[in-house]
Amino acid sequence: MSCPNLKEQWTEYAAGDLSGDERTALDAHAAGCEPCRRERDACLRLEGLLRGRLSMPRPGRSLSDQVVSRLRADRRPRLVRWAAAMAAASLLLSLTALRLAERAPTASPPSPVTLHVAPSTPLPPPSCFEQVLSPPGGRRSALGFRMTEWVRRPPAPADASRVCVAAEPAPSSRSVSAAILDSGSKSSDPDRASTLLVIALD
Amino acid sequence: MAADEAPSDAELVRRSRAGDAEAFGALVARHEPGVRRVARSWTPTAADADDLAQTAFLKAWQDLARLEDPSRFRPWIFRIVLNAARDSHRRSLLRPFHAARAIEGADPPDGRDPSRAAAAAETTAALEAAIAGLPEELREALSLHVGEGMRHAEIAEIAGVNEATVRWRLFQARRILREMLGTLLDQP
Repeated sequence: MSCPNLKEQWTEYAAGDLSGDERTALDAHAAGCEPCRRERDACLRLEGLLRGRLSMPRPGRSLSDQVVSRLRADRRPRLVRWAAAMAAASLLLSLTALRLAERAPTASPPSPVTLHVAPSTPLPPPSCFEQVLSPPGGRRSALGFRMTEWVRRPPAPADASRVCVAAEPAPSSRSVSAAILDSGSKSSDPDRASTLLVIALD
Repeated sequence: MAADEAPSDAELVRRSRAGDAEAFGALVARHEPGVRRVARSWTPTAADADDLAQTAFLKAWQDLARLEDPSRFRPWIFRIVLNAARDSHRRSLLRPFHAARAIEGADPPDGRDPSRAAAAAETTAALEAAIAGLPEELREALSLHVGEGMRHAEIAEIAGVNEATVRWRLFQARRILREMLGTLLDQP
């Protein structure tokens, strides 16, 4: 058994927590004390075993690809689902509005109509967003609508649960553009949205 | 920044927040070895550790906006994986270490000296059991300090305690392990 008053110090010695002078003094003591020498060696052996056990490399396939795949799998379908649903709603509203306009007894072209699907939100300033590169011709939603995706420049919002929609038909055509603010905040503040999906209904 | 210089964690966090999944993938690749090692100290199998690590990274992606200082991604992700491990452990879905762990991590048999190989395997199994028996906070400090080479200050940041407490935990962990392993450590 090592000297009782030194027992704890051998733990610190092996962990490298002592100064050079303290180590030298302990080594000098151990040179003439067999029990302390055994305790020192046992503590050093424990330290070596711990390093070997806790810092051993972890073989196996990288998680990076798996995580990125999961992120894409989780994100795209949700956007596409919302895009399809919101685009369908926007299309229905715009067609109704245009039909009403065509029935109006006037010789002049239909006046611009603006439709807002609650909660109404204006489009965010373009400078806040970066467009995600799309294939030539753009992406198409499940219903065939052209979609352009934008992502907010940092910082992104903390919460991501609310979807806000603004639908606004162009004045001179039968097309409607809809903005879906996905990953928006619990408020309807579009400035806090991190992803913007713009859909053009040709 | 030089063209061939790897982007900093802060830069990758900023790009990730903008929706750049590739940038987040780079963060994962950079930190996953340590995260998986720490996760491994809480799980019975390597596959469980990988699941835990993956869960932690996905949680980090969801909560990136809550990371106040993008340069502190490393302590933040370790805090997430440790919280996830504790949650899982408390739900009894996982328990730290396992008999299979000792077999999996045992030294390979030494064909020249079977008795030494058996002794090494015994020591390894005893070490596994001893580490598993440590209180959570001691095991956590030990895995971050010895396994990941983290300084006391960084561990303190992760654990939410002061540096003196980290030093005390490390000392206690070593003292307990020394007592539990006893004469097994006397072998050459």
